[in-house]
Amino acid sequence: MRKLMFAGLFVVGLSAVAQGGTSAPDRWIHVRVVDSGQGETVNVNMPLSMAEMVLPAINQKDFHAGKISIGQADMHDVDLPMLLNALRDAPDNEFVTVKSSDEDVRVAKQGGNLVVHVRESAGKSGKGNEHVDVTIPMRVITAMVAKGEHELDLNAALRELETLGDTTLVTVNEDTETVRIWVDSRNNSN
Amino acid sequence: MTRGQRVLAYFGVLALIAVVLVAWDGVITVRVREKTPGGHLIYVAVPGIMIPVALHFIPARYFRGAHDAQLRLVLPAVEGVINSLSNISDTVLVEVASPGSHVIVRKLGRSVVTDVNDDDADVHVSVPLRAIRATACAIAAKVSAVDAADPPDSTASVSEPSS
Repeated sequence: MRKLMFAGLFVVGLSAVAQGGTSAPDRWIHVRVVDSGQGETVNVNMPLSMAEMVLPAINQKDFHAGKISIGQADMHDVDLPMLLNALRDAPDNEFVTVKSSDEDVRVAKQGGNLVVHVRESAGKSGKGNEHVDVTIPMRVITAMVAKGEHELDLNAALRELETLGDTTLVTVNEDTETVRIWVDSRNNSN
Repeated sequence: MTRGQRVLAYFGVLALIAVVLVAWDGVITVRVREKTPGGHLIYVAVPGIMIPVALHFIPARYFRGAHDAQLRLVLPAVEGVINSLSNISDTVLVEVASPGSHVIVRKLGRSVVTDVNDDDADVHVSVPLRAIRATACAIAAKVSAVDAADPPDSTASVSEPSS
């Protein structure tokens, strides 16, 4: 009887391991906006697989079938796909640095990511301090522009995000408002 | 069989049908509790299968306006979202909290549950995933029936964006 019980437990254990091995963990995209001035908090937690399903259903102006069309006119004749491809092939470097009395902007390629930092202090503008950090893995950018033809493939970007580790994509910190967008394997934003 | 036994048997069959209906697509529940003095408490529970069944009786002509590219995109997306939701554990999908108002949309069991709590009322809506899928399928079937009878103009499909 005891042998039978152990055999049963062994089978249950094996099946659990097998299930754990075959099912890929869901990747989640999280958005959190906290506006302490208004006392408002917004949390969105969505599996990337679900976002992939939703995107093709949105068909508004330049956004269709999970892709954003970029007209040459909108880009002032800058070939964005070509620019991003050049960025992908470039070594780690600082591309743009702007420093002024109340503003500090930095665009760089760093550790396989495109990094944008904006630091704006309360100066002449009269606005409060603002810190913006955007980190986009180059693999995501590559996937977005792979098809070229003046469109950004957001679905491909989402698929690529699913293969990456936990990543913070965007953080914005203002005096009273914070925004954070990140990807991980947890189903909550705590 | 006595008359009493026959009545009991009828009730038994009706109860069985009710159980099957409920089990098929779950139950859509809506509960509204007004916070004003003397406010009402409204509770509605409808078997999820009732909506696709009701759609079945709506004449196809009312779906003629559904010759719409957007609907054709939305229906598969709904199916995909429901599949995705079916495979995830219970979680909060959207939460918006502001002074005097709290909205929360979550996946709970096999349902999507929305709770809205503000100064005027508490609203709770629970919709089983299977009911949403069945409703989307019923709408898709109606649109297909309209298409078969009156093929849509090919130019009305997804419009290419202007460059």
